[in-house]
Amino acid sequence: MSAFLIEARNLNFYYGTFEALRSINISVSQNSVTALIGPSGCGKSTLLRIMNRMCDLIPGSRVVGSLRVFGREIYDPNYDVTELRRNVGMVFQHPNPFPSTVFENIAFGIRIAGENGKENILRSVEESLSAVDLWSDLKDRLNFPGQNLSMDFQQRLCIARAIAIKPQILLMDEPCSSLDPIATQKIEELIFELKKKYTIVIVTHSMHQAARVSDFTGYLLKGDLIEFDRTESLFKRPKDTRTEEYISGKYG
Amino acid sequence: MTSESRKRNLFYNRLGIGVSRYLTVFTAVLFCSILLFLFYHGAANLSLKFFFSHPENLGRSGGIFPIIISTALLCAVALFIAVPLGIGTAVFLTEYTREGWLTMIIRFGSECLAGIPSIIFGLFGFALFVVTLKMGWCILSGGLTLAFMVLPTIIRTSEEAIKSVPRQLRELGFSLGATKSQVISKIVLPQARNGILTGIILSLGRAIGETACVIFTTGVSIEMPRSLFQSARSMSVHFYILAREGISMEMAYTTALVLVSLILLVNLFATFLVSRKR
Ligand SMILES: Nc1ncnc2c1ncn2[C@@H]1O[C@H](COP(=O)(O)OP(=O)(O)OP(=O)(O)O)[C@@H](O)[C@H]1O
Ligand SMILES: [Mg+2]
Repeated sequence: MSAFLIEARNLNFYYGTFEALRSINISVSQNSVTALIGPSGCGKSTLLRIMNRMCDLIPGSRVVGSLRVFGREIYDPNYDVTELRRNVGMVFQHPNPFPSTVFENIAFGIRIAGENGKENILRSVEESLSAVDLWSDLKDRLNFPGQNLSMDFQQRLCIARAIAIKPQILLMDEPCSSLDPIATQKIEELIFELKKKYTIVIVTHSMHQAARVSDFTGYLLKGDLIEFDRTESLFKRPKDTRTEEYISGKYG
Repeated sequence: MTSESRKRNLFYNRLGIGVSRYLTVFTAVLFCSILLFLFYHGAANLSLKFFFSHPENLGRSGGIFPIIISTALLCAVALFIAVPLGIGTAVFLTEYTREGWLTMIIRFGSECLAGIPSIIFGLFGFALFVVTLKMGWCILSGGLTLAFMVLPTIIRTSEEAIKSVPRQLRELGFSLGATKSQVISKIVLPQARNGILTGIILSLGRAIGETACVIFTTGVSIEMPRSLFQSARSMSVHFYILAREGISMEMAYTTALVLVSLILLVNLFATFLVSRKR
């Protein structure tokens, strides 16, 4: 088995006839944070959503090439998608708690995974809320509607929900885009914590955020992965002039 | 926007609100006058005894207890069949098929069913259940026929309710490792619950008051039914017979009063369910 948790080789992706991603090669190693940056519409979300096969849900979409997660081809017809999604959790751009209580939000995934013991579920809820630093705030409000929390709490609740089913990889699609700077900072701190246990791929609009939180960064432009490198090198010594233009703000 | 056109917009807005308010009031007044009319003619016989005793002398006196029970049984059979079938069809149409000729045929068929007058359903139920399947006039024949009649309503309302569940919620379910059937049973259907329930209750309202369908398939027996395989008489049929055959206009009005009040209660309950926050 290779050292990388996620490995794409010559990966192409099509929405119908539109080629959204072209020969992507990317390797994500364990317990690292990988940031995907690039201008709007370049394919960041698409690349992220291929990694847990959420793209399957779009009629007419097609993947060509190799994408290995945990060393196995996930687009193999025999691959168990639900198993994959259990191991590769996802946090969405806008905080999206279910219209139910804090407790139910987290318990959902645990029950889906087949755990029905009350004690176990409660323990998992506590663990995951503690992991996102919400337990002390919410432990007396487990029956509070998730959607009535502040945006910051909602997004952390969503992260807690994702990690409650114990994935190994966390995919985050612009998790801070609807948060204020203080809440953003809290999420970034949380990412540092989570990195110890999870491998994270994060899409972000903000280069500064990428520079702050990630170990590796990939720069996408119109469906091409222009450059993929250690974050430091990519920002200090970009190898491609297009990357340089983008990070120096000359793009567009 | 100029102040001129703003003024005009405001005017139309006010006009719209005014007209719809009048129409609402008109509907309410109409319904109340029907209720009052029935009350005026039928309230004299109304008593607890009317609800809980058997009809005597073909219904000239006594109560309508067996008739209430028969009506309830008919509705129960109809919903027992139509609800799972209707929700299942709606789930199939929205979740398991791409839009195509199959969904088009099913939808078109269901629309057509919705437009068929109930007496035709009655005739069809008579030909199929009573005659061909040799079930005779009985509650089961009637309930099955009623089920066919309300099926399109349940399919349509369930479909709308299911479609109104945001795509993002489904995606979220999948991203947490749910299978398709788990997403449907644990996210989509609970979210669509209110819409689906409304459809069911509207159907119930229709089934309670249905006459033509029932008279052809369930018959007119005034006895207390001892099983689903016996003939029985629903409230609206009872009303029809009392009035039509000149047995007793007073008793007919009292029956109608009970029937209409029941339908009112059912609809109020539907409103309550819809307005209640989940
Ligand atoms: N469901 C879809 N069907 C067809 N085309 C799509 C679909 N989703 C995205 N696209 C197209 O694919 C390209 C990449 O989209 P994607 O959402 O991955 O971009 P992105 O980098 O995440 O952009 P943003 O920063 O705006 O979120 C865009 O040109 C977009 O128009
Ligand atoms: Mg995006």
